[in-house]
Amino acid sequence: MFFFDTSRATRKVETEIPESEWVARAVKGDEDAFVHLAMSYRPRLWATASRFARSRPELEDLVQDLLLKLWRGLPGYRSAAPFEHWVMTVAVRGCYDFLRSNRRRRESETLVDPTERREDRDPGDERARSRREAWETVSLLLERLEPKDRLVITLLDLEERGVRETAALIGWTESNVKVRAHRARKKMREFLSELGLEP
Amino acid sequence: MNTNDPPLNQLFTEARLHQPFGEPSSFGFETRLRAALVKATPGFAEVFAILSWRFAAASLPIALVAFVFLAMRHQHALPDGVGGLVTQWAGFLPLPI
Repeated sequence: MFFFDTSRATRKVETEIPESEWVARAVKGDEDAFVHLAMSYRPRLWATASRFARSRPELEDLVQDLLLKLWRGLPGYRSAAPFEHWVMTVAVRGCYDFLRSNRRRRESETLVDPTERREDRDPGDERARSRREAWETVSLLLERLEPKDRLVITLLDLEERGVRETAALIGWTESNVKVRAHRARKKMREFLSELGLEP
Repeated sequence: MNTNDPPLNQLFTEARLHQPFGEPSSFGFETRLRAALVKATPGFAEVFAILSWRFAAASLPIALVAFVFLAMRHQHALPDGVGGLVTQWAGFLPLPI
């Protein structure tokens, strides 16, 4: 299979066109305009989706799925709202759908248990290893949460979004987000104790 | 966000900095996306299905009005319950009921 990248030759001209113009074209069904927007937003979608996927192929599929949701939803986009906000709203809700639909399968799979971690044979960067171990532990704790709890914690504590922004992205009230987050953190704390990983 | 829970805070701070799957690769991205977009575009069958569903939903009130109109025209009154409805419409059947 051949892969081609036709965007390089026209990139100079494309950068002169404002985003709103690309959006307007994409809303009208211009596939090239959508591909341009997809390339622009892909890193942000990748960063958000990486908090929910468990492997790189799964992440690539999830990002692709989010892009298709955006493409299908574009006719319903109203320019009154910022395009980025609309994109992230669709992405967050897509990630939530992904969590719900994959929950049973994910429960049957085994994760790396932090209590059974082996010492790395390759003495890499100590700092990087500490981050990876923290990520593994957080992933293990998140796996035990309900999809809604997981979504809230991911947006608030891992993506560092504010309560108001999180509420807007998920479509809940701010108080609902706060209550959910509080309960979810409490559960995480309990799981942490169960695993014997408290410092 | 500060969770007021030092152990969790520390975990989140460290986990936030970890990129488990690295950066996205641009190799083949456009080809794959365009292929998916072609598949995602609804074909004739999908468009017809959407339209037929909408058509059915829009026709329901019209069908109800037509039913009421016919019932009033033939008996000058609406049928009384299911029994009345069956009796009324059975009269139109070419059967010796």
